[in-house]
Amino acid sequence: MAKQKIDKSTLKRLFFDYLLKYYKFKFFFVIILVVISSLVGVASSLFIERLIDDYITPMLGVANPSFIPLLKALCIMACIYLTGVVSNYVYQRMMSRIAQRNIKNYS
Amino acid sequence: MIKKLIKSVREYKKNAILTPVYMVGEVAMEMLIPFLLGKLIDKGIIEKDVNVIFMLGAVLIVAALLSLFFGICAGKHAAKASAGFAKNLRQDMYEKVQKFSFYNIDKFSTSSIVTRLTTDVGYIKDAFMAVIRGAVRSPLTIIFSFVMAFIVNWKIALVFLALAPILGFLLILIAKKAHPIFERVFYTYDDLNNVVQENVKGVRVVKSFVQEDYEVKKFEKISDSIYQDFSKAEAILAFNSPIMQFFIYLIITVISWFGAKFIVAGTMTTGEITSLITYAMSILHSLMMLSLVFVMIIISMESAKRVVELLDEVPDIANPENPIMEVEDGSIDFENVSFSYVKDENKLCLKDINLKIQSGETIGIIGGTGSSKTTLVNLISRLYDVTKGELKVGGKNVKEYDLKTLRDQVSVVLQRNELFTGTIKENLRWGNPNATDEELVEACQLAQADEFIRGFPDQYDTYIEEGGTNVSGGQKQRICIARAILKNPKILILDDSTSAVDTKTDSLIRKAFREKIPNTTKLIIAQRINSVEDCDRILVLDHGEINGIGTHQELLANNEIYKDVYESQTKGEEDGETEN
Repeated sequence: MAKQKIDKSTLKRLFFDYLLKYYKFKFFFVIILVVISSLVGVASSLFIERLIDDYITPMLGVANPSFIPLLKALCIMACIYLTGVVSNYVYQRMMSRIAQRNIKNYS
Repeated sequence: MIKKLIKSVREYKKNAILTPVYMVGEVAMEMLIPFLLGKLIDKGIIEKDVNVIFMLGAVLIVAALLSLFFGICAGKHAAKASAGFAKNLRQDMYEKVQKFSFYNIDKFSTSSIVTRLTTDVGYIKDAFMAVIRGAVRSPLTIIFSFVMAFIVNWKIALVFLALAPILGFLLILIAKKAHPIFERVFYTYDDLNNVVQENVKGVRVVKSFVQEDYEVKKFEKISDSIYQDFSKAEAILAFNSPIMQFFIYLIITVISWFGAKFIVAGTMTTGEITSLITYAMSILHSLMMLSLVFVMIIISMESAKRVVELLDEVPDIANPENPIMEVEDGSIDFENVSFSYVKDENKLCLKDINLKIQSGETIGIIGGTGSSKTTLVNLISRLYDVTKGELKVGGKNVKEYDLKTLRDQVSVVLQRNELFTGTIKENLRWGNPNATDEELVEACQLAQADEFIRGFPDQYDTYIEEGGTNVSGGQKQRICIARAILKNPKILILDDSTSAVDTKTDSLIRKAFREKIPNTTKLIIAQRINSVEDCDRILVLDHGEINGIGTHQELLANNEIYKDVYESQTKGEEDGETEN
């Protein structure tokens, strides 16, 4: 069987003509949300490093260490995490809607 | 249900088993690499031992290559297993459909059978692939990480354990909400296929009535309903990933808080908190993978149900236990026969039919549209079973015969006959694969088809296009009659199959029947009186009941319906030829 080549112009049409023409705003909004969600993921990794260096190590060897700074940091992190979770949900939903609508319009 | 489906894996069982085996290898290597990396840092880099760096470095490269190799093998076998499984499943379904009676096919509808064979099998294939790839890998990683977490700090590991059932509950809740929508959407797919099938098949009618816009709107409506349903279902499934993420962050926060307390209290080290978080991450990552598999399973469950439904369908017409393998003669007896398409005695299409036909007799059947002429003859070859009464062929109940024996001896030329893509010869041999060229010509001469076939440049090797579009209606009908004669049947049924043949050829066909196959019982359904007037007896059907029976002269004398039809047709006789 002859190998079928993917026509680049078809791909271009699929992407630019349909996706960008009909969903310009939504598409960029989804990209922003994906970036936010990824940044939250990176932040969570970085936080683990800071947790040990900035919060746990200074408390070691102290007679009556205060957990307040750690609690504050965790609260801030919780808010950041929640932002990540919400943006994750919104982009998942929007992506599936765009994908389904695209299938519908193509058929 | 799953057991039933798994049966179709057959020769691909080896691939299906090898996939998770290779997966285990891949996971083992993945677990080994960080461990080796740690050793390389501690023993090699920190202690500045070049030998250790080279040795462990080499082992690391081998481990990485092995991991890659296992990964590729697993992928290859997974693809082979799932594609093979889908192939077998389709094959099994197709074989089953071949055994279906008209009743079974009516019950599912043609388009639904098509969806089940294509879309549904596709979803099952995807889910099968996800299961053999993810179902071993993820649980293995989860178990391994759990054990390690317990070894490091069992108190914190308990937090993981406590959260697991909550997560499980939420995932099941999502599945339960999404499932009914998927259930609905697949039935809408049936409708979509139905519209496409009808439109493509009837494209000439659509074009000649300029109904393209209407057809497009019809399609759009169904397509939109699929879109709406899928969007709804995916809106629910969209909760999956964020819920997982929420739990990952929750666990990190909890470990951070309690970990800090334990470290300050001196019951835990900083190294341990890092590894605990790593394990937590890998557990949740695997859970995420599992949830993806889970989603695939939810989607495919409905497909699986629909496929099994088809596989489980019992063909309502099947061979009896000790079938009769020979049809004695061409006699037909209808004894108080009633029939309903929906097997309901209050919705009868044929009512109390009593009729004895001698072997070799030629019977004409006349009746208005909806008088159940076709239904009556369909019962003879057991395309449907009688609802009440008894139908005998050759003196034996049709239900006692081997189906192939019966249908070989009862040859039917249907109202909407089909030719298949291929040469005329191939189409004719469809009736009898062992027929010689002489027999083909003889049958075609009988059906008055020989002359026009010889007029084609390629004669009997003329290629028939899809659906027989390159021959005229009348020519198609005559090839179909020849095909039926080639079976050398004891009973030959022509269901309005000379409607597109001109009256002269029509009478030549009947003359040839009389002279060449006098011992074959012939049943001729026709709209035109002159197609049946020389029959031994003519049956007048009206609303599923016998209104009259006799010769042309007898009926003209005492049957009102027959007289009316005859008079109306003789008045317009000069309209003449209808060949198209």
